[in-house]
Amino acid sequence: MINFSEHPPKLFSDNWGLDKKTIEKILRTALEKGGDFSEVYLEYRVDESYSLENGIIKDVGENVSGGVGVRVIDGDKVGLADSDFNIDSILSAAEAASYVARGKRGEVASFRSWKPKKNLYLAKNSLTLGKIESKLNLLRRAEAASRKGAKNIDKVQTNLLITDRVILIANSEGLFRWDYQPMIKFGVGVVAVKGTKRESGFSRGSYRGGMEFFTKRRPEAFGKQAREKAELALTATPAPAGVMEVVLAPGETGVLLHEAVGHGFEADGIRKKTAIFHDMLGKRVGSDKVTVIDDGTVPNEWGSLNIDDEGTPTQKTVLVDKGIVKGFISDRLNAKLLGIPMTGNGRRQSFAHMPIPRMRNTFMANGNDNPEDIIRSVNKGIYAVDFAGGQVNPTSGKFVFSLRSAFMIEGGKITKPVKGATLTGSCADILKKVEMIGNDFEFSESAGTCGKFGQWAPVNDGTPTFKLSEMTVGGTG
Amino acid sequence: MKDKLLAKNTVNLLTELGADSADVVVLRRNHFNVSARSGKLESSYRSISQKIILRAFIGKRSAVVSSFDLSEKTIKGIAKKVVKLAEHAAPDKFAGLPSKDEFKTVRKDLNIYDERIKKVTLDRAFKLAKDMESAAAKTSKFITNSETSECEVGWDSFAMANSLGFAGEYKTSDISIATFPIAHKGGESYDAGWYSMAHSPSALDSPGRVGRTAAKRAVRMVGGSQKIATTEAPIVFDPMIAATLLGNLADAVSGTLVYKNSSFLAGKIGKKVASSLVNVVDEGNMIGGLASAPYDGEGLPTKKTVVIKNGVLKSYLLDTYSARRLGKKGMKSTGNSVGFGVGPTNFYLKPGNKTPDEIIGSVKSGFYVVDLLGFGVDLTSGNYSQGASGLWIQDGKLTHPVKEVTIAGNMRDMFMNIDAVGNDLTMLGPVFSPTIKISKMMIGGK
Repeated sequence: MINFSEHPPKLFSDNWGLDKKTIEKILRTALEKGGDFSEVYLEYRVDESYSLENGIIKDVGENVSGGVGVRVIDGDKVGLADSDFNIDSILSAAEAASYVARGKRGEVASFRSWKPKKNLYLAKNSLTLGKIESKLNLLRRAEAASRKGAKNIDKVQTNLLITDRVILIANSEGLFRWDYQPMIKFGVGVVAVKGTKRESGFSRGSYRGGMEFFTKRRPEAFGKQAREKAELALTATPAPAGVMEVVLAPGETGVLLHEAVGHGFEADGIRKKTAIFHDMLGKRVGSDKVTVIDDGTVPNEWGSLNIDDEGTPTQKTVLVDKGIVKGFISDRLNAKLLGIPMTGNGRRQSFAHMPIPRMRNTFMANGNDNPEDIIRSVNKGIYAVDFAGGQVNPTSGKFVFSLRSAFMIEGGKITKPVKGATLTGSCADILKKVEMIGNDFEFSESAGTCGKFGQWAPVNDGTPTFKLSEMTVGGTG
Repeated sequence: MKDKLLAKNTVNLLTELGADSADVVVLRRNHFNVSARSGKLESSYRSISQKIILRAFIGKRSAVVSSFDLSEKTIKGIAKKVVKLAEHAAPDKFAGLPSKDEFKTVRKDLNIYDERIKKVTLDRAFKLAKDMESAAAKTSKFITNSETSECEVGWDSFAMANSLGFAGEYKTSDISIATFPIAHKGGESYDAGWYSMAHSPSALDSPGRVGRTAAKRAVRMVGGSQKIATTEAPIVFDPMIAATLLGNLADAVSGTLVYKNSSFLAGKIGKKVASSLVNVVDEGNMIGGLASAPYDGEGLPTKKTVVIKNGVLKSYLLDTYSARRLGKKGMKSTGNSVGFGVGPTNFYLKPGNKTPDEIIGSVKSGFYVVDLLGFGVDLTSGNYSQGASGLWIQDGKLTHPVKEVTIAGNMRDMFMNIDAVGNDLTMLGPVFSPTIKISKMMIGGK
């Protein structure tokens, strides 16, 4: 039984003999064929999952994963090999990772001492020590609230995922750092029916920290919100099709910034000159009202990290400053190749994945407009509220943003609900279409997961209310 | 052999610890990936992993615990854990292992493992990656860059045992090559990927052909893009994109979704859900099929299931749990368990008799979709709204590229409106399709 409150270097050393001396040996072995940098990434993780379906505790489970990733960099070539915690396997992985090395062999520096700074996700009470029944009760409370007073509910499914994760990162430049990352995901899905119509509604939340999450956001609130969304969807009519004005509600619609802007600022696409913004540093991409930021330092937020997966401390990085391209988000490799600062955006899904530039919490900064004035300014448009997913191709520069629900705005007033539709636009000019930005910034409450090159990363988004002069809306009406 | 024994012994351990029934799966994965860019080595990645999954039932209560660590000490620990967790689950009268008589000896010669996979070296993988990239670059002067070009090689094993006395194991081998050239022309950039996947190195498409195909698909999408007005029009889907519609359909006929009433196809067995041209099959025991296996995640034999015949929904894809939940007499697992629910195996739309050129040729004014973006598919309501790019069809010919539009409809109507099915069934992945035409969808443009 691994104890997650143990000091991480001691946890890996006591359980698997992976002490500083052994890790140093692995770093040297990795550089035996050449290469200018080697890295050892240790990870141990436990995921507990529970689900409740129409009153029945359906799935109770636990997954334990862990291992070592050894990485070698030689110029712009990267080699990675993974292994379990057995030292012979790890050394074999170190050798396999060196396939890319052809150049002069780099040195292995002695480990520098390090003290973690402020903890962004101090768990106030450790989830894994909690009783199973108290965790199951969270699910029961959410379902009860979703059904209370409603007659048309066909299905309720509630899920809870609790993760304890510990990582230790060491490299040939003398870096030796660690982090303990407790995580919670909670979600309710409701299917409501009316005649032959059936529609679903979801309410989700993600949090870095402990059980105090459920005091801030009660399970009942999740249940109620999911049902309200399903019922709203039953009254929705088809969304229109064509180009129109779009107003985005504060919070989760901020994913538009993640897709339309964020991905295009990831330093790998910049370095390879494949991303649309690669030659735009210092150039104007939007009005001077627009500032877009990627921030890894917001306490408890899903996209926050004490250190990234290469050991670099995270920061608040300004991508677009009053309409001008200010900076890119980078991992170690691309920062060095481009000659730009490391921003603490080098992330990997696990020890078995390559670190690549990923976002953290990406958002548009507050503006000065009154949100009510923004709605009033629209003659015919869409008010986007509930988001289903987004995607971008940073090379072609096209992005989409799928809505689960929205409302029409007619003559400056919010009118009828409409069914979800996908909105599409162009990264190069979307920020030029921002006409008004509200002063009601919110982070998304249903923080999600970003997929890139086959890897998932927990991220969040946010935004104040803002208005786009036009976007193409993919309705059927 | 030793994994099958390990699975059996762990089942015995679970029974000793108090489980009334149990099953255990042992998975091993070995794979490596090499990528090239600008003619040089870009990255290499090698992974060796294993996993043991324990499922225990105490009466009608169950739990699942899995671990990466196959040591005796850890297995003893997680065996105790899973029995303890099962005590907390609520009894679910539909839960449990399949019935003993459902387990059968299976035809093993599915051609899913080729020993020669272990002879593919990192150097050879690098050469394949490089050759695709250079073939793409040679195809056109408008290919100016590359996202990446890669080769992935792997071999896996699956072993399973349960307390009904079933035990089995099998191996698979996989190799794939993919390249993503970027075309640039007239101020527009576009990356198009093409690939080949196979169980055996000898069955892969040549890197030259993959590179040339990818390059042509990229070049045709740059220069002269025009926006189109919002309109309702016929849509032709190339096989790669049509396969995504089949994927949506596979999800919609998944027993796991259907018993939860979360699919627009719930309650539709025996009803017409697609046009008469539509015949869809799931075939888990297809010789050489990319998703073929002798048994599914519960150890039940895989088989061929007719899902849609002449447009009529004949069967869902089921595992033991969803079959019991749906409760129709005689409804049994179709051998589609993925361990924790249902998944398709080799799932495809049977080819028709029109060539893709004939299908495009029959369209006066419409849209040929080659790329989709987004997650705008709602399986509960059937609502479908996706970003799309492709080529406009005018008077039966492909014309200018179109990007930044949406296509929308409801899947209830979309499958009913399939009015042409091509003869070009192309197995690009385990879910695959020929070219198809849908008579009308709403295109959101300017």
